[in-house]
Amino acid sequence: MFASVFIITQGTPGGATETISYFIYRIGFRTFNFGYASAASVAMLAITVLVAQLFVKRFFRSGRA
Amino acid sequence: MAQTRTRRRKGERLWLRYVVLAAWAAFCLAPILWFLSIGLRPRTEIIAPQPIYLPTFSLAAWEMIWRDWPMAHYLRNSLVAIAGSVLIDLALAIPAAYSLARYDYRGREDIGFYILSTRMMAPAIVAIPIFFLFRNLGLLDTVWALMLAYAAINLSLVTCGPGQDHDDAHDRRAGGADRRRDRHRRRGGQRR
Repeated sequence: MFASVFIITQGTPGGATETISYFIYRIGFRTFNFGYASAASVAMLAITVLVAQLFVKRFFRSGRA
Repeated sequence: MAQTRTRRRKGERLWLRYVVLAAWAAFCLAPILWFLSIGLRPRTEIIAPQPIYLPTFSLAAWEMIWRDWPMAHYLRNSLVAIAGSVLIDLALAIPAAYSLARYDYRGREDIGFYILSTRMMAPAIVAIPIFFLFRNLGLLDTVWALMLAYAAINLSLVTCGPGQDHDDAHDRRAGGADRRRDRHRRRGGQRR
């Protein structure tokens, strides 16, 4: 969820259409706060791994991962 | 396939499918056609407050993108980045996919799933590390950075994409002895 947000609204108005991906881009490459953006990236990775893990456990029962 | 045939034999109306698919195709094509029509009319008719149903034909916008912007250069960048990333991906993915499909070894499924799982991650997560990596390599603002980024992101699809179960694709082509051996192999792989 980055390209559509970037092209259409850029997160406006007031962050109403902002996604985590776009947030990371804005913090990192617009305000150059790389530490904050890195922390957000790691947090998003943790969330992704958690959700993916639940999904894989639920739908791939044949011993995969 | 068999399912489709039985359904069709039961007399499901084929034309209904075509109507639904045609409607969906029109829905997907509408924005593109709309943009095309905007691109082919003069500027004053684009920003007109009332809709204009019969706009005058004008190639001014098309002239402008070629005159004022280095379009040929942009297209060349895209071609170089895509062609290079495809070559990198093929060089890496062909041996990887072959070994995943044909050989059985410890952790084969896990390695394959790991390669595929890189696709599940949002690219924005690695944007900052990639930025620093390319900066340290002096690759910022070059087409090579684009090429490497495309190659890295698409590698999972090139390796695991076509045909989810390589064993089955092989089974259909291979002879009996080969098939039996492969099935045996696959069971062994799953038991572990």
